[in-house]
Amino acid sequence: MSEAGLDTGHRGLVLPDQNNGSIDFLSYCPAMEGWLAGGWIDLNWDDQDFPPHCVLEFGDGKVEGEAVLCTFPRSDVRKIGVGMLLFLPAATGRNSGLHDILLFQFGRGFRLTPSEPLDTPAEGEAMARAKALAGTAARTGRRTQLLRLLNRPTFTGQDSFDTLQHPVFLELDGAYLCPPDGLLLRGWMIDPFDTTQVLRVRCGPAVAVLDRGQWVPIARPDVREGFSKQFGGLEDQCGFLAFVPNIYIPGEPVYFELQSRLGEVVFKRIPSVRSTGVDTIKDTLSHLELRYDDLQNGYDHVLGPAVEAMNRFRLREPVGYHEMSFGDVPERPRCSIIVPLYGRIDFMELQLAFFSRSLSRDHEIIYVLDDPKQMRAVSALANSCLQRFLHPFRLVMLSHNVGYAPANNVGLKVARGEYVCFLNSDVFPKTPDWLEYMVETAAASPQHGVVGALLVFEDETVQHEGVAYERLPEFADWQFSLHPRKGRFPGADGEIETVEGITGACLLMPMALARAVGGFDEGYVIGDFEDVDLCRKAQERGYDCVVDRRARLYHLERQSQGEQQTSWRLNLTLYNAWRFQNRWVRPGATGSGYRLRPAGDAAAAVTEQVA
Amino acid sequence: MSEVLDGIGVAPRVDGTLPSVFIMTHSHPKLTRGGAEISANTLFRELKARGATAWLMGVASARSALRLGATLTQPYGPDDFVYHPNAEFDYFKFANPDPQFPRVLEELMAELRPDIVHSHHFVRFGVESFAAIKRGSPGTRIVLSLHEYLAICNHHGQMMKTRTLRLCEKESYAACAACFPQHGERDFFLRKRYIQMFFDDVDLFVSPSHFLADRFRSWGLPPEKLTVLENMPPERPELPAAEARTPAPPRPAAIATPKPRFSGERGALAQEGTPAGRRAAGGVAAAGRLLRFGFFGQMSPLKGILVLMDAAKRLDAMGVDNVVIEIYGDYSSQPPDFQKAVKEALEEASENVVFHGVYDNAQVNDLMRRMDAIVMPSTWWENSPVVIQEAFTNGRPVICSNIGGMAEKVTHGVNGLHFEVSRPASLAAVLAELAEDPGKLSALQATVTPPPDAGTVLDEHLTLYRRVMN
Repeated sequence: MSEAGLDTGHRGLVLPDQNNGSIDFLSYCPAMEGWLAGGWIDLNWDDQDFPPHCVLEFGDGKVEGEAVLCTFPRSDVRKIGVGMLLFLPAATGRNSGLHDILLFQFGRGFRLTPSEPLDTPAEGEAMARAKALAGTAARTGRRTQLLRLLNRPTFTGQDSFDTLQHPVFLELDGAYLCPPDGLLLRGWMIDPFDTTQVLRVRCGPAVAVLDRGQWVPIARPDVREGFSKQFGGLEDQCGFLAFVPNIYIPGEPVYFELQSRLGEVVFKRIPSVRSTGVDTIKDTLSHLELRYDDLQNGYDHVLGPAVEAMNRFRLREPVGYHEMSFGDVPERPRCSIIVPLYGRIDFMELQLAFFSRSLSRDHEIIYVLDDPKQMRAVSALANSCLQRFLHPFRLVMLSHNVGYAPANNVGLKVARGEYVCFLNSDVFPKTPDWLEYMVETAAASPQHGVVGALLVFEDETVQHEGVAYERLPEFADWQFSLHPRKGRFPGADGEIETVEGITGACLLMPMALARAVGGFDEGYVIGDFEDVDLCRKAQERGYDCVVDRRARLYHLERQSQGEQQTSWRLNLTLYNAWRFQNRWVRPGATGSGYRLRPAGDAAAAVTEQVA
Repeated sequence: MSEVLDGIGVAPRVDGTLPSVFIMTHSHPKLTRGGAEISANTLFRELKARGATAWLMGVASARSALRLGATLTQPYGPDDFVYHPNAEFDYFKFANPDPQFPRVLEELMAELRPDIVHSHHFVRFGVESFAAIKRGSPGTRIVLSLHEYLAICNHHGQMMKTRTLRLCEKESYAACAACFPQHGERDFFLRKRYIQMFFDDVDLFVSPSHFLADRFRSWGLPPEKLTVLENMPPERPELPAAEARTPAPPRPAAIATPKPRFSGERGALAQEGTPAGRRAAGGVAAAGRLLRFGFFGQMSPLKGILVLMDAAKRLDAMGVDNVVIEIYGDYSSQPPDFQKAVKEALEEASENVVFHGVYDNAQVNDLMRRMDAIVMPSTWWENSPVVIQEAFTNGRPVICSNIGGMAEKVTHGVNGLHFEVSRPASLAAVLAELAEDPGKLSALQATVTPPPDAGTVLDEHLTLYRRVMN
């Protein structure tokens, strides 16, 4: 005899060493939301209505609760036991092998062991077998209860929404895998009579209840228009984006299960689950316009976790790269300038032309091409640039496109300088000694962890002279980093000034500090907020951010408002903002010391962030 | 001799008292005959005729013979180079991505060490060439002749709006981006900075007109580096005998001649290829003197050929019958839409228009002397048109649009007349006035002075070279 486990709730009960029966089959049945098992149990079992406590012991844990158990005559064991059918409610199933089933009744324990091999039929087959067996059981309340559960409809692969008495229309435009096992669902739903009581997503043994209050609503006037002749009171916002965590099991069918207020249960198959990448992130963030509290809700429950999972999957492996040196690059450079390149490779040509007349050969320039399809064009152009401008540089070509933060981090990995200067490719020197000033300022005080420059547009007005934070009520009161004095001529401020943050368009740090804080956080996607995040990491360690106005460069940031306000780009900025709030603002709101600028156009402020 | 220049022979210096000049042009004169190539070639020839050391380098064309792997070849002689580009030229910012050329040019300069590099153009060589020249031979002075408004304007250097073809007075990032929506303002900002940065290496910019010089000055070229000097004139065919240079005096009787009618027949196309129009040949105006106005040159959209034909039609409608417009030029290489427009205009042309088609430049003097005046109705600014120089060489006044380089070279009432650009009515009025009073034409002819000859212009070049060397 041995003791049952401590956490069965039946401590002290004595379990027999020998088996008290056997399990022939075991299946998790999503339609019944529980485990169904069949076998036999010895004659010591007292077939009473009082529900036994049941423990399913699996290789990786157990499931327990009150079971529904029916017995029935079984000729093959008639001298030693009776047939047994058991149902144990459980929200989700599991995959590892069953060890034993323990039953506790009136102070007695029973151990049922699985037959070798244990049969684990599919849900439909298991329920059909159970139904046949239950038909031979004595007419008890337990039998009635079990038959009711067994008679629940099961998903057979067929859509059955059209059998509902009051129609509900649910269509998916796409289901995207958010690795490892989340699903992002995009579609629309019309429930004109409020028929739905519970809507679930199921995948094999996994199930999740969809809370429509947490969906991201999407305007679908086309859908509303299509149904408006049949039904009144429809709204444009019948489209949705929903995120379902911990649901997807490869190889298992994924489907909706709708339980109506009239007790009907219907199903709808979710067709193919798509893999994800940057294109999916863009797609996900298109055609959304979240504001106010919807923003927080939408990013907390849907967009945030979905994009985070997709981005993490996208960057799951360290990116490979090829490295080339053009000309005699310095072995021990004073500063490493890291410039990620994407799209406009001619910016490299222009920068190198301008650097050739302004930059000391003590510094190294590292271009990181984050645009693999342009590898050949860039290496040819690089060679041409060296011959024309005679300014040495290094070129790192990434094997696939990873985005701003990871590209810079590769540059940081290969850099050899005492300082590092992250520079955008659309930044061009205005004063020849811009970098000398920045390095001098960084070296002047151990407090100076991050140094920025005065960046101007081509009309000599300010693009950046330090970042300031501002909370925007329209955008869930989140903090955004803005550029004070942008668009105006530089003021009469001092040459070197401590500021709240520095733009990544031109940001210098001691190399040791940049590496100590791990470079840019790669959880931000494409290119917002990584810079101020980096500044925060330095500030957290006690360093200051300073702007040196003696260092002047042109920053030709994206000009077209139309381009900036593309909805996916704006929403991606909001995703990055959400991440920034979670990392730096929400835990211990440090916004009290921030300069607030007068209320202006909030949307413009966010698009400024995009730029 | 360096590795890259292996096989390149260089002619010895000839006269140490004259500056040695390395002349560059964007297309080799042996291959094409544009204005810049002609000027470069004349300069080369005249310098050598004086005994100076001179070299010429032009860019190869598709029909140039390649030497595999060679960037420079010398098919025309030891002081004559052809550059074979190895990359597609960037016409937006005039960058030459050819990775071979900078080193080849630098080494050639280090070897030749010319006193002067006179570049007629920067396209195809690239503005970076100036830096390579200075690297190879820091003591060399660079003179750059400006052709058109190329560095300023991305629209073929014409300073005309792309969509409306209206005249552009001044470039700006916004205005240029409006003409070329595929480029943003910042692209034009960078374009200008890129070009100007490499222009820093140029010691002297030469403009053939004050108008063009002013445009470049307001664009940002330093005034002290800008000078105005006419391009070397093209080689002139021998001038006809002296008496032929003096036209017969116009006879006022022509004014009263009634308008001729040629029922059922069109004007210009019917006479295509004939030396003169029906009106001229038919003797309708025999009672009076027939005035001939000649158009010479490319019949491209901006040369104003449609303005001219419209003016001819107006003259016809006005009953002016002692005027013939004779067109010497070609439109076969123009865009299809424009060819169609010219063809239609010629079909519909009034009887006072004669279309002769393409002409041999060797005959230009003969042909011009058959005219009473030359018409230049260009609808763009022009710079220093060769046609004006040719007209003056032949003692013919020029009737031209009242803008840009034309208006500068032609003094209204002295050696020609101006009319309002792109206004056929204005041109018709000027021509009608001369038809009514041919004496005015005689007066203009009398005050036309021929342009300086090649020797004189070369002297001016040498003066400039010495100035910039000092």
